[in-house]
Amino acid sequence: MTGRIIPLHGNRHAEAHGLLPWYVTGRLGAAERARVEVHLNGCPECQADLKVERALRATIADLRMDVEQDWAKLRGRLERESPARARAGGWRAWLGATVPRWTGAMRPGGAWGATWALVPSLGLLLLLAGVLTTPARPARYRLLAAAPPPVTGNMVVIFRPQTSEADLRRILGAHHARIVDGPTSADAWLVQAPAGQRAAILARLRGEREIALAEPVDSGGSR
Amino acid sequence: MVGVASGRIATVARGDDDKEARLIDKVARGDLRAFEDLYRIYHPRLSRFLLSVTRRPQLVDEVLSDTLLVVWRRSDGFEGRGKVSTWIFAIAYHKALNALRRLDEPPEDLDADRRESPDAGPEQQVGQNQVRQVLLKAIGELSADHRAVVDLAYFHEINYRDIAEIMDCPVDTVKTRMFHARRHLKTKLAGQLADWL
Repeated sequence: MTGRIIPLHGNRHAEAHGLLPWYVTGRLGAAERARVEVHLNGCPECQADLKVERALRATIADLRMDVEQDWAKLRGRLERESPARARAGGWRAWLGATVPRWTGAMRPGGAWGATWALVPSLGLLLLLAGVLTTPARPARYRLLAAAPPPVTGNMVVIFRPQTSEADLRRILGAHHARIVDGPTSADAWLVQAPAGQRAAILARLRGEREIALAEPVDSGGSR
Repeated sequence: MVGVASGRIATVARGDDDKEARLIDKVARGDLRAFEDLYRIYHPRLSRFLLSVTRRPQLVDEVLSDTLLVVWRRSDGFEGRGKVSTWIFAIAYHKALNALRRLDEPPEDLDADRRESPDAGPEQQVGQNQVRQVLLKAIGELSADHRAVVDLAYFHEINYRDIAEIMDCPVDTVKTRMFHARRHLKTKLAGQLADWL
């Protein structure tokens, strides 16, 4: 096969023939399409080739891919990389607008459903929440959570897709954590760990093979 | 008929372009949900394209992820002058070529498991399978550049000007590559055309 460029201008047959692949996919402009059609009417060779082009196109267009599995992989990669982007400043404004909505909705009786719907990007948001929940930005949910009874979670956990319900219960039970809400559209669960044990439980949960993400959701006051 | 169909395709394509431009704008502002939407749009398209160009399934996942990470990281540099699809396919194409350069292995025979014994089924099916075998084998014999043009044109239905932009080459080079690719495929299929058409 050669890479030599064949001059296609000045020859209506060559031009029309060369454009047939895009003619069959409807990707020619009106003027080019009209020229091809005029030529096709009087060219048996191109008419025969048009049949071949249509058959080629139909035969070549066939492949299935697993989107869900690969998205889970890439999401994990993004989540691992996100702190660097946060340090670069790109996230700060976005999170500054989003986290108050998130934390505000965490109060007892808050609008969980609506908030979950807003954050399929939960993993990234939570990884970066620590960037925002600095002393200069008091965590609003702590004030709101003062109303009894305090049923808020203090971490978010995402299990790997293949995790069974039995494994989910076993893992949380083994680490003395309990589900408070979820799952979200991103398959994340809001989980409550006993006061004072959160950091240790988070560390253990992160070591579980079935857990894709485990992150705190407040400023660390309940550690 | 073709005119009406192509008009509808063009309208749909413009709608897709606008939607994707809005997604990219959100991605540039760090919207992971928008990125997920974009990912779901492009995963099947890029998977198909990368498999076609590289002929190496083991490369597809890596190159696809690398491509979409570039989209994520550099979305704020997308200037909006061209189409989002052209920009993303261009990233994928160049990453695929770079990945191929790093490899010395021959491409896999992707179609081995799809081949069936000629006496495995009804006569009609055998004929179609044989045509498919020959076609797939012939596509595998093309260079990566030629396979890219074939896939972008026939499967992704991208016009030749955008293909030229994706491949960073003149429009006539795209047409020439397509000319040679078609000639090769038709030559290989010469004995099968009666069953095929």
